[in-house]
Amino acid sequence: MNISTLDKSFAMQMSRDELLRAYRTMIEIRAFDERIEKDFAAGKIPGFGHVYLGAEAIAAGACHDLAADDYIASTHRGHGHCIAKGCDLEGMMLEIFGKAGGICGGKGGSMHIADFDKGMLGANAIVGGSPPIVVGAALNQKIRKTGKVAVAFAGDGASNQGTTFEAMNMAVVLQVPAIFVIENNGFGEHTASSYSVGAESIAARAAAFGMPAEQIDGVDFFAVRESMLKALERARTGGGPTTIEMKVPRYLGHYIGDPQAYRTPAELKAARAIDPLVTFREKVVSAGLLDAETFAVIDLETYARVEAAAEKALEAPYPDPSALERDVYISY
Amino acid sequence: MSGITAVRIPKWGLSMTEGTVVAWHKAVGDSVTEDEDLVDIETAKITNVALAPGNGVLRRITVDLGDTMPVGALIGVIADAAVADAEIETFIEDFNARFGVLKTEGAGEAVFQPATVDSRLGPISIGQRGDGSGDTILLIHGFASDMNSWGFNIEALGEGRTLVALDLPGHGTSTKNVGDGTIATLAAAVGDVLTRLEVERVHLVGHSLGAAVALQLAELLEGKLGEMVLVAPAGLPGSTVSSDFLNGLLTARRQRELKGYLEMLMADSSRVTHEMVEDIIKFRRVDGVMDALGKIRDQINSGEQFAGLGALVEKYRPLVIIGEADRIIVRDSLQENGEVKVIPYAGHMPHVESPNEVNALIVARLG
Amino acid sequence: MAKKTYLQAIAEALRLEMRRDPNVFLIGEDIAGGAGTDHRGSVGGIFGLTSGFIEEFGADRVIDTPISESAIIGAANGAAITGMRPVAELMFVDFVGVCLDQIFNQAAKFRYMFGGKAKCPLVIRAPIGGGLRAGAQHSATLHPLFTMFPGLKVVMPSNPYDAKGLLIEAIRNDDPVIFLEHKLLYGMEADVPDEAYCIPFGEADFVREGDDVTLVAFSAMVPRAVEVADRLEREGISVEVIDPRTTSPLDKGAILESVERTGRLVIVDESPPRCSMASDIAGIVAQEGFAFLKAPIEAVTCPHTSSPFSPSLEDAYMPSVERIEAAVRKAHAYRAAA
Repeated sequence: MNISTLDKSFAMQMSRDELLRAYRTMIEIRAFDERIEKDFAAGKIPGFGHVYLGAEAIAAGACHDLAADDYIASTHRGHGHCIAKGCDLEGMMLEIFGKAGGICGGKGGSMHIADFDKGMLGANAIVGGSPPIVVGAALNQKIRKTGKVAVAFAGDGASNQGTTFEAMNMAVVLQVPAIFVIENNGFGEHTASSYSVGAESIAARAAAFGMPAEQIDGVDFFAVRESMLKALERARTGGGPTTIEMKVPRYLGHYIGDPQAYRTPAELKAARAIDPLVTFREKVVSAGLLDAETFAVIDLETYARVEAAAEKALEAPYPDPSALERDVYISY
Repeated sequence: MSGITAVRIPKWGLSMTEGTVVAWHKAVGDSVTEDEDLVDIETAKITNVALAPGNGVLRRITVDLGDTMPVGALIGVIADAAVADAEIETFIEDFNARFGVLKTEGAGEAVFQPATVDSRLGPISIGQRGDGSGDTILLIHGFASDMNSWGFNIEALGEGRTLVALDLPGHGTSTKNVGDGTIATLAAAVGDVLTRLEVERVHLVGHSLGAAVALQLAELLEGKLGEMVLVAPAGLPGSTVSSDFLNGLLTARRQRELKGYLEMLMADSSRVTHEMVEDIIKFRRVDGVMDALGKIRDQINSGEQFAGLGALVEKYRPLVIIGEADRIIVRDSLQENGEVKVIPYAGHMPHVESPNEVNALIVARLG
Repeated sequence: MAKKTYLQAIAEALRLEMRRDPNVFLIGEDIAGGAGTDHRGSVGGIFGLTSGFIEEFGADRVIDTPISESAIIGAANGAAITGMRPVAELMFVDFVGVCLDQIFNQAAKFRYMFGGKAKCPLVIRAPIGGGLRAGAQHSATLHPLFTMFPGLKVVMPSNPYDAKGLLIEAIRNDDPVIFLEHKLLYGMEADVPDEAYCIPFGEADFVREGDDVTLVAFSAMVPRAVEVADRLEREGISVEVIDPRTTSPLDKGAILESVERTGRLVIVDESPPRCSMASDIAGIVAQEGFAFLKAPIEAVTCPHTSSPFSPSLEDAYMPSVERIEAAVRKAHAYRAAA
């Protein structure tokens, strides 16, 4: 096992603006999903919700160096990826509340947010649904010689799906510029991955398919970014796919409201204690790059913005009934 | 073997490969005169009457009613009453023995050759019969049609001449580029074809829209024009083209609906076959066709296309042949200048509905 | 215009569209064949349909894959929603089981669930049908399965001319299309124009016009229906044969208009009876055309079993000309007009 750790000097290679951008992404995700969790629990949001809390560094780090025409596809737990890829906060909020004006017109909901203008090919409610699609998006980049990539976010649960194995093998065989980011939060729904993943390491499985793969600490933004930059360089220069297994805690249950009878209070507390935002702030402040005040201001600002978006979504109208039968087809 | 004439399945149209004998106008033992109506032959596209190829007595019918035979196959024998039965039998045996070898050349001496000629709008498909010697006769079809519509006229009109039929731009297998869709543009493209074929002297026969094209084309021919025959011409003074028909032809969706419009073309609507409808439906689907036809139709509907045609008719004095029951072109008055022949019991397609009469008129005019 | 087989007509459609639009590419198993050996392109598809394609279009546009249907269709989805026009091949429609998620949960739903922003111009081609003694897992048609899903379009050509025009339409169409080619028809010959042409979806073909009985058939059942109609024509029973060409969208207007005239409906469907096109169309006509009916609707389908292997059993399994004729006679004779 190869777990890389932060090198202070790596953080110092990022400009002040870049560091701020990185943190803003993470705190946006944190504030957004905390609010979603609250409103879900209060019964204000319909359906199912899955929050990204605890994994913010992965989304922010993995998407930090992607452009709008690099593609990503995500999972049922996709709010973090959407935000990191530049999806509009208000539009997302409206979508999750099922209101008109949502990014998908209220037709998709939390698990199906997509914004093709931002290169976000969709959160996917089918475990293992995204990896094959990302192989195709990467194939497109390769055929058209764009020099761009496609990134699949998948969990440890998805790593057991046949579709993920097929996609990894296909990516190697066709040598496409795909990056598989496996977010290992220790649980696939209500089952621990220590049980459901038969092998010692998910990264080792990917390597067995014939591509470079490594396991890193997903709580550390800088570790995530460093491994991602290597994978991007490889993909962009025709070197084929990479898998990065990133370990993070899962703060909450599988879905909002999951009583998590399978985790003890001590375990939950321990999970909460590992905080990617805290890790980032501490590292950046102790390196003298930014001060605590700056972060505090950003935090307040962000929570306020999220609050405003949520209030707006609560007030917004539901979609017009005519939306029901629209957009089944392009031509009729 | 004197005095024995084979009655054979004729070749009508470029794509005809076989015909079904459906009814005889004469019985065995009847006396027969050359060119009188002898036997009804049904093809995939249409049923028409074949004329007696010679004088004599209908001595034998060698097939049953409903039999389908390839083009050129023997279906009967005409001979003088004096000829012995044994001779007739030998004739039939010899013919059939030879026919196995000669099948493809059975129908006529000259074969219709397809070719492609370049024009300012793109490649134009033509069919040519004859070796290029003598006068050339050029057949120009009408809107949404193609050179196959002259199937019943090719043999008669091509006798002793070089005959060329073409697919107008936007039609058949010619380029679907029609430029601005005006008749002048179409005529110019046809002019290009004649130039490339190095035609010295040409007779023009145009049907419907093709007649308007022929008139405009004449202006480009500078002394090469021979005779001109206009069959059911569109755009002459005192006449209107049914825009209902033009639009319906392009917009009708179902086969039944389209059939209703095609039935307007013939005096006898029962002559419109399922195949005819299919042909138009399939043609409309080809890439570029709807655009091309739409442009031409829009130009026609705009009303400006036919402005100068009256003067051209006065100048060239063509033979005009029209069907008495033409429902596509409504005529308030028949042009006084030039010769006008009215074919009774025919609609907008007299060259298809009464080919023998029309062929005779054209041949007479060409002299 | 020349005589071409159904298989050649399909190949021609692919070739014309690949020449016209560089975004069209093929992906599937053994489309060229011989990948990883010195004999690349030596197969040209399991039925030889794509023979010569990798030589003309190159390996970037004729992509052979491992046996990984989920990844194949999924990759086709990903390429489609990001701007390309893939034509993916499922070697036999029976293999849809291992990639059905990417078809009904992904391709069919992208446009709708993403609020009208996604475009998935995917074509999946799959050989269907029995009659080749290929056994239970290589003989299904499965068109009712695809028809059920909103968001998909389902096409079943019955002759070479239709096959070419419908496939060109499928490739140019921006919605995901399932294009089902019947194996028994691959050798069928007919006149097919050399040029490109489109046949729109949802437009039925009136293969035979008639006044006494409406006979609806799909795919390889159409020639059988025509044979029955021609036989009965000689007895003075005039049968109208309708080939809807596409099950989704379905030209129900054509069927209802015909039944309004004839009052008698027979549907032939090479499928087990439950949730088949036969039951679907019978339901539609019973609901929307009840007043037109003069006789009970007749359905001629396979029995509620899998496809048997033994020739005698398979012949009994598929709707035969005899069974179709019997159904038409039955519908015609019921309270027959004087």
